[in-house]
Amino acid sequence: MPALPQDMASIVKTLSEAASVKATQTLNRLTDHEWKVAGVAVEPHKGLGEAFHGAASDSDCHAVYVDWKGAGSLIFMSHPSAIAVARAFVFKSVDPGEDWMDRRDDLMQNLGLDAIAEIGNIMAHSVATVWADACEMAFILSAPDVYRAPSDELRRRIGERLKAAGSLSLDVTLDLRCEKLPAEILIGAVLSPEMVEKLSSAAFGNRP
Amino acid sequence: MEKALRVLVVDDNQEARFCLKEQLETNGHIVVGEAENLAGTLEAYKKHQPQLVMLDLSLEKEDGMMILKALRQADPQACVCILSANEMKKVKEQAFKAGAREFLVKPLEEERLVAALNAL
Repeated sequence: MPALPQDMASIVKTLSEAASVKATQTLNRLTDHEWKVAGVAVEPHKGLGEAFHGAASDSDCHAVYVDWKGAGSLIFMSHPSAIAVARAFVFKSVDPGEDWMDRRDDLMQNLGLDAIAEIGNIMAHSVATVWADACEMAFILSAPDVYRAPSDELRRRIGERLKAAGSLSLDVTLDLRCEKLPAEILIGAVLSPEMVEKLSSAAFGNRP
Repeated sequence: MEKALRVLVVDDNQEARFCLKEQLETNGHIVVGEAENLAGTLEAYKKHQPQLVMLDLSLEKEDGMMILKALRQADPQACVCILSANEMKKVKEQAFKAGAREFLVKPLEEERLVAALNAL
């Protein structure tokens, strides 16, 4: 695959950095804890087998996948991070009781995948909004699909989904962390050449 | 709180309905029904005659914007407040053009919800 002009990748990096700031603001509101951007990476797409390769290897992970025309996005958490974030999100207005620390897995069983789906949906929209508004367009995101599996299996399953996306050009990874919870969320996105062109054209003021 | 509203909650995510219902009832409002799709929304609206519909745009099987338009067609006086993770400018413009009274963004702070409902 021919390399992208450096300026296009740089523009996507700048927009992605803006998206990462918005994502941390969203997480601050979602969890009532402070989140920080640990890293933003934009790299040439390495192939379906390497999709979302920024996600750490873990034997028990949660992921939410959404896509829209020209892009796919994965919101990825280890099981302990998923527990911490879901608890902070769901229990804002409900008293979890004194034994909430001991009911760690009851939360996931009772509200479980719905809470993770909602968190993933909110985060995917938070990032996509920055890109969409830059292009003055509306991206219609798919309903979130939730997965729980070892990280290698997750990558394989998402790789299968990405086959339908056609040609892919750039991989974006946002690494967001909260020291207090503690938790880490990786937001990955794979962009088609058309999506990359839309984003970079928008930045130059030539709306698609 | 100025007055208690009778509210219909439309969202296909059970956890999202749970959290919103908690926020509404904590602030004295009454959740008269819940729905997940177009048919359920129209049926619940007709049955319960809510003063307010809280509608999520991002439903898995149906387009929330279509539900908004159907509600406004069924009752031009229907008061619909969008609650959505999607805050893209173009989407907000479409929602207000279709008759939404208010557009709130997820995650929704309780203070923001209270202020928005008091303003309706």
